Amino acid sequence: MSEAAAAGADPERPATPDAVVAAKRALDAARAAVSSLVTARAQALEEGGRLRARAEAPGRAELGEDAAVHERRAADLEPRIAELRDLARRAEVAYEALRSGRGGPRPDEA
Amino acid sequence: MVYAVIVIVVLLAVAAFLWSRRSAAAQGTGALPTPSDPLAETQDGVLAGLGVGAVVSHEGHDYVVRGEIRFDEDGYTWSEYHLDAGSGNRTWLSVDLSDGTDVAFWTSIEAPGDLAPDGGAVTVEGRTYKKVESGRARFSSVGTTGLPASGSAEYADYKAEGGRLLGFERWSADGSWEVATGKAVPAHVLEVYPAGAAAGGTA
Repeated sequence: MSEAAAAGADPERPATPDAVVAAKRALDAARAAVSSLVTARAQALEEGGRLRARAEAPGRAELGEDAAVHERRAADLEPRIAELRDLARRAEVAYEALRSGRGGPRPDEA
Repeated sequence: MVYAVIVIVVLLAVAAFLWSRRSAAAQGTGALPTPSDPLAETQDGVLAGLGVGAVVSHEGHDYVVRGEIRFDEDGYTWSEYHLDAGSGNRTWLSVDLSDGTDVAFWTSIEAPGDLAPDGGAVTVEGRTYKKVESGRARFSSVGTTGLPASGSAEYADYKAEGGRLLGFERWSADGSWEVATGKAVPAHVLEVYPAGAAAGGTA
């Protein structure tokens, strides 16, 4: 199965302009979702690092638990980011297939 | 009689043509549209959405774009992006679309205090770089760059055999030079994710 077919494109069904626009919107949304989660992970790691440093000060050891919460949150985002990154790549393949005229969505997937 | 009608029709056509041209000129639409390069690189391509708040993925690192500096030297423009992958992993990405797509990662180095782009060649850490270009440009900045919102900067770019880059920048005439080494990368190896909701985007 070609990437275009895997992405839902059918060479025998030319893409309509609306389909191309919709595919572009889906691509933009997927990329923005990746960006949001990567940024959220970076913010969690930043906050975790800040609290971890503060926890080393005398009498602030309990901040280490808060740091761990942020670090776990960042770690929990990893698989979701990977999924969305994969989704964004598939969306790009689908969009480029439609844009290059290799076909539109199959009837059962449209 | 027939000839008279033909002459009248031709005269009317000429008059209509001249009138239409004069009207067009009066409306400022007589000039040809400005030509543009149909194959010119734009940031609508691989680098679409690159800006503050976006994420750039490269070689396993996810960099958040924290700031951007836009340079303009007499209409010749380029940009530099402050990238942060966390854990102190920070770098700069330069993008110059004026002659194709020139993209490079830059890392600041601690250079000797007297190192300056004075000559046609500079030797840093045992590597000799030859000057490519230098000049002064206006800049504007957004996000976290460590610079004011606008100003002027001097720059000098050098290149060594093998393509290694060396860049000098200073942000005032009597300021010290900031030195960075750079490595050009093909734009298509970057993955750019435009700013999402977490960065104030629209997602």
